[in-house]
Amino acid sequence: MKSEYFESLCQDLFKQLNGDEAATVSLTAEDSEFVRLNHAKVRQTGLVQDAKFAVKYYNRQNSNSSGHTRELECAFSLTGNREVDGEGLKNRLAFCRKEIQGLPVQPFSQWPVASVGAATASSRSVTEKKGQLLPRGKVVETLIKTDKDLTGIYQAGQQVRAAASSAGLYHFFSNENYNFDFSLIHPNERAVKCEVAGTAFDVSAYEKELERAEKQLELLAKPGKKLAKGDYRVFMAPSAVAELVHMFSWGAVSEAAMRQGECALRKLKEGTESFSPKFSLIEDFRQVEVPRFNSQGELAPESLPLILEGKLQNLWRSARTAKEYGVVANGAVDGEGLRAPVVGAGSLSIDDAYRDLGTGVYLSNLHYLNWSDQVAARVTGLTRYACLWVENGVPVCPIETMRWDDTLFRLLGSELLDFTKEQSMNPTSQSYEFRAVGGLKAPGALIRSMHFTL
Amino acid sequence: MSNSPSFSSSFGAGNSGNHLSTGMVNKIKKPLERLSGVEWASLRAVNERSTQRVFRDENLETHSMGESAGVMAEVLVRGQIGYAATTDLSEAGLENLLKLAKARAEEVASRGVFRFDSQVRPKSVGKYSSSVEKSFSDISTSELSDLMIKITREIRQVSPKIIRAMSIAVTTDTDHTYVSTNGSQTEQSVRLVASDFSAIAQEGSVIQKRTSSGMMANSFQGGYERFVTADFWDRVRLVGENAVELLSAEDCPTGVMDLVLSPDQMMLQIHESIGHPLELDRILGDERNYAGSSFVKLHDFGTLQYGSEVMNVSFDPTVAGELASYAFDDCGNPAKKEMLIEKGKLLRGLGGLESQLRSKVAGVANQRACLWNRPPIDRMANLNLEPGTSSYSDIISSVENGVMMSSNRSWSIDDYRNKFQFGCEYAKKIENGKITKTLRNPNYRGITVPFWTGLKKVGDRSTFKVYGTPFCGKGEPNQMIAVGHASPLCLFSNIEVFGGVS
Repeated sequence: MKSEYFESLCQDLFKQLNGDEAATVSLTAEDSEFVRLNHAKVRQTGLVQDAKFAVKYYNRQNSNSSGHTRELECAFSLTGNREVDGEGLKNRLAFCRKEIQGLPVQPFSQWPVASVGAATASSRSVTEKKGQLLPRGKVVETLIKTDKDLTGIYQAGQQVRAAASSAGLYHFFSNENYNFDFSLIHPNERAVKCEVAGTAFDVSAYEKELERAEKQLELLAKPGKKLAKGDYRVFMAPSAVAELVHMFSWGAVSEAAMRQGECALRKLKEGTESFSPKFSLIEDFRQVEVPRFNSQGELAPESLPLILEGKLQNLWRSARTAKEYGVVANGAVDGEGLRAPVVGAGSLSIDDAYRDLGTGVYLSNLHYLNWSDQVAARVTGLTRYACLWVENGVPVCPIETMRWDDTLFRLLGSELLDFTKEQSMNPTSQSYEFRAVGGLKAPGALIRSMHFTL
Repeated sequence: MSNSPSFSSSFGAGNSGNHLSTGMVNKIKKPLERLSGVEWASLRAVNERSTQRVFRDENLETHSMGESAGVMAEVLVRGQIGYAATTDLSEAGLENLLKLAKARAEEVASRGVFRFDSQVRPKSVGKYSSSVEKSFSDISTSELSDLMIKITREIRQVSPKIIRAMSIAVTTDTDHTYVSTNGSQTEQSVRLVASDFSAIAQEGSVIQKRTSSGMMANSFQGGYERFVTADFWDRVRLVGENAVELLSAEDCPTGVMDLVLSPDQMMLQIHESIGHPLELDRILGDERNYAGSSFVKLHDFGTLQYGSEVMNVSFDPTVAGELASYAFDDCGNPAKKEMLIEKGKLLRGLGGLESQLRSKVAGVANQRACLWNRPPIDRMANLNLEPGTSSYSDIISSVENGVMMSSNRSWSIDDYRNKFQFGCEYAKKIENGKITKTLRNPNYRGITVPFWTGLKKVGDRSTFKVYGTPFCGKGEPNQMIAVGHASPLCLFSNIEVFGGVS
């Protein structure tokens, strides 16, 4: 899907609107290749071409005041045939005009305006990047290069995110990229998690990752240590820190959640709990490649500190939230979750992780995190993959899976000793509905004590 | 032939009548008839129209409608199935789609996990439609908006301590048309309605949330009658009353004791600790890089004592109104009720025809795709714990010291489906056979087989309730699908329970 196609549909829509109408439009599209592997063999393989065109229609009939606005969202699949899609759009506009009559006025609706979001933001951007992906038809032979049990998903192709508004905002972001998210699994069922991703498939980087994983697998061959429940000193690898920090997306960095009672950072704001001065969480669109615009075409600042040296700095605020609570919007997406998160670096060296841990648990990955008491920011989850028992700075053996249950205020607060100076990018490989974009950049973390419960 | 998406004509208030037409069958039949050089091929067209209405504190938050329309081709060549999916429904588009899918299958060549044949896509002919008494499309938008506003008003009126009231109604109308080279022709028209209303109450630093049976647990097949039920306004007010009641409730005690679970929490317990571990694709290793594996091994079928003798679990896609009822799975396999566990013994897995062939374990018709753009994989459908013989009062009166928990709010389990921890919105203390007081922040944890072995009593049909969730996620690429769960009230012995921090 190209920018010209999207723009011509947008123009088609916008020119049909009268003075009491406005619209914002967003596009999510992809042309993807999927290869699913199990035991280093192909389980399923296919191609998906999909495009979702979503219109937010605004109407302020009977009044010129934006305080009497009604709004409605309507999305449909684009076929790629201009005539069919133009006709589909026309039908949806007619439907919206009819449907909106039955809706109540929305006092917090934000009528689209020409400049919303970051003060320095441009109202127009078009980014269309080409990648150097493996040719379709060559993927399977390139990926299956090990006699080990390799299981996972290769996904590649074009991803598009775009947004425009009748007030003149226009942003289009298209990228060709790949993500190979896989596990190397020992016959004893223990596994190492791996991921290679980018815009140009680098065979040697992939082979290096395979080599690293095969080496790690050797340690996992040993019998696992069964830990008793209790408190353990832990080192979280960057991928484990990323899993933990993803929890901030679930009602923690949202102004609406804060105002409406469910926010996990409420106690931080009230000053009854605190994070370590070593913990910073910044949204940084310069470091994480993800579009800065939201579905209304509003731009977030290039960098937005959420937590700086343990102190709450900002929450994400959508235009709607801003209007309702009388605060300033900052280009948040609906749901006000994380966008381009970067956890600040510390002073430890990742190469000294075992040494700095001394005796305790090295956590490579965490699994199935959920709030166990959201208002207290208490999270439960499991250990997964290559989690190791370390004694006197030497990795001894893998551990049996353990459940943990602890608060963010302990793990990133009172018990946090330091982060590593190296940060790793953890690209997302999620693909519910569409392949997701972006990732989370995080360092490793040394934590004095973590509650293991089962 | 016209290039227009012929089945995306009516785009209305949701939950509308039957959209299937012979037009779609004929449209996707033609390119299949012209295909050659393949062992088998199919086209599966899906049109899904959804509406979502979210109201908060007497105001409309979002009103959104969506339509996703597309086709997936599956082509079998030399034992491998390749797939390709598109929104381009033109004749040329469908012909190209079949070519792409064929090339995918050819690329696999000898590198597939298994050499399949067309027995994994049997010939099936038939139709299915959800039973709808009253369609949402018969209710005007303004009437529905007024109702949604009233729900939030009623909740807020319970107490000034309620700081947020929400009401959500979601409809999903899906029409599936499936045609294959070996003569399959199935048309299924599924109508889903999911609803949720919730209250958040606050007093000082204490904040408690209550929903009606857990987030979106009121998810059913059917129409408006499944949304506004006879007990509707009682449920609305109870949400508000319970939220306020929880503010001054004691925290759930910590200790090992009897645990009574309401059907709306049993739903989650069944889902996570029976459903997922019995999925044959997990046991065969397909999911090990994402959702995980299972403690259940292929040799456990027919031998493993999964739980106590009062445990009977069925896969039942025939329950009217339950969320995942259907006549055929997405491979054309006819669906029927099967017992997975009887008297606590594991008999059968949750695996479709591909998994059954790979594993040589008996399975069910559950190879399903969330939409036209994802390939079918093993999923739960309706997975139910069959009613037992104990009445509600039998169960409560038999508990000397325990807790009864309702409505899930927290869920987590390991990748082999052993160590779980679940939290609920609302609990009652049971002392000497009587319910005594309300408890807040209830949680419990356990390990799957010992937990089900501790199943002491199963409620009778009078305690049996049907729920569902639209949010079951697994698969690579990821798929979110709707599943139904029904259960009676259940009593478990010697369970580790505990409270919260807030």
